[in-house]
Amino acid sequence: MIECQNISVTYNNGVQALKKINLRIKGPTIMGIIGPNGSGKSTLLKAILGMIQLTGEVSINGVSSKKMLKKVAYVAQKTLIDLSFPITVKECVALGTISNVGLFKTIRKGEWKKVEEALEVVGLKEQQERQINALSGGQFQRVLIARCLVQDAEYLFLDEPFVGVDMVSENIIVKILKDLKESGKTILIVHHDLSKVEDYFDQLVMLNNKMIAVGKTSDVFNTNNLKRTYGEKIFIDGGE
Amino acid sequence: MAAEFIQGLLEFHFLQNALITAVVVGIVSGVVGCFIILRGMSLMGDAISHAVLPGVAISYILNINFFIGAIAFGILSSVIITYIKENSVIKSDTAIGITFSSFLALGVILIGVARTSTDLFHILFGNILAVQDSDKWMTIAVSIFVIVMIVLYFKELLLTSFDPQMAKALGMRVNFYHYMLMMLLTLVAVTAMQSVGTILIVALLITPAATAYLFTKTLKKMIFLSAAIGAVVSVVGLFVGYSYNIAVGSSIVLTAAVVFLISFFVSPKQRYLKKRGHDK
Ligand SMILES: Nc1ncnc2c1ncn2[C@@H]1O[C@H](COP(=O)(O)OP(=O)(O)OP(=O)(O)O)[C@@H](O)[C@H]1O
Ligand SMILES: [Mg+2]
Repeated sequence: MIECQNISVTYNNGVQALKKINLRIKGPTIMGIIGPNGSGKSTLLKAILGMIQLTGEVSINGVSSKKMLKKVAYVAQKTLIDLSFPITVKECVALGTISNVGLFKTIRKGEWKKVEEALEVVGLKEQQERQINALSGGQFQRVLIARCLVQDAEYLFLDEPFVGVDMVSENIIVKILKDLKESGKTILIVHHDLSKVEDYFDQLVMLNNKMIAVGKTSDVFNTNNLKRTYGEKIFIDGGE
Repeated sequence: MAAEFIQGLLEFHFLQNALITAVVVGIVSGVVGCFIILRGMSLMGDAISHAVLPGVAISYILNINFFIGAIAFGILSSVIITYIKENSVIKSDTAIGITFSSFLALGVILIGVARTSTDLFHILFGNILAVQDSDKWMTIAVSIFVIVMIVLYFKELLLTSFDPQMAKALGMRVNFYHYMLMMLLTLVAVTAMQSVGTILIVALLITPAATAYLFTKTLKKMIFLSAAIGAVVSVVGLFVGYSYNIAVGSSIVLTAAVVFLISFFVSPKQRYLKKRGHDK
């Protein structure tokens, strides 16, 4: 279980990205995080991971989150990765094993086996020797998902995993995530496309720097909450 | 001419020293250079290689080994640059520009005080033919240290270079690896000072690495190729410089540039000669 108690984040430039967020995530579940640009979605993931300064408390399985980082696999918003970096698909996935491989040691046979299995799951076994710049956006996102798989983490945090991804890849990824949930994992996804919210997420966080709503998707995904999250401009009735 | 060079190698101890030092410097610069260009720190590399100068001068004045002073100033400058960048609205290239030009100026003055202007010239532009046994051994020792560090921390350096966000999320100390690289860079800068001189170190760091980058699809291969290119251009540069009696450091740098230029046009990644880009 992940628990956030009263967390607030203010960046150096004075922007308050999160205001007194309370959140309890009990898995296994797939939880979506939605909200307009700048509403603190990415910040929320980073805060739980202890990557930024915050006030309040975050715990994972009852322990301070900093000690539980091995339990979480994280894929940052894609734009931050240099796709021209000289690394092959296989190596990129293998980076997921890094926290299980001791300092000064290299990745062992057993770990490479996991890498192969993960590549099989995301359907990229044939492309494993390619450099990552030879992949499509959707394929690369699947590589990052495979990297999460080898991390064998209890929690998965994905920041906008479907941006620049075509429907084929998106469907493959969603299927994998649903399977993962069935096997007991808890998955947090920052998401933009409101039309898929009800299909994808069991639970939903609606964020606008403060918590607008949280709960089962069917309970909270309604016009009223959408208006409070995005402002009056939004024109979905009942979340179509 | 090649025969003359080889004859010289057999005959003259100074030329043997020069060759060995040049090769070792070429290798280690090639290795560290890969991380420098992949992290987008070319300018930082330039800055640090200039910033070590006052440290070298102070070491002369205090009569201590010049590696000590150089490392102190290399680290100091990277701390200053990082501090300015993180605590003000000034952009990092500006912070780098201000810091390294000041350090270079200070270094020039201090060297002038401590040594003669010939020494200054040699430090700025390299003087590989005057490398002493002790310098050679120091270079070898330092280079082994640098390479061992990179081998030991390879996967951490790979991850923090490729995906620092993930590294952070795993609780890795990304800053630690940043400063470790800065320290290694400083060490390389000091060794490379002998071969190509302070002014041109950055070329030895980034040109072989950039060339290797054009041909390889994994970091490991890039490092090996870059090291090999660094070594080869150093030998060729030394050969040309010695044979025609021109500045060896500059010959090395120009050789590297020529290799890069040719590679630029033939590399599969550049698509100049081939229509189809990616290596399958
Ligand atoms: N490193 C940072 N330094 C300063 N301000 C930041 C930083 N990162 C984010 N912010 C600010 O904090 C607020 C929340 O940012 P965050 O990235 O969490 O939003 P988001 O909901 O993920 O937006 P998007 O949909 O654009 O990804 C924004 O106003 C942003 O400008
Ligand atoms: Mg975001």
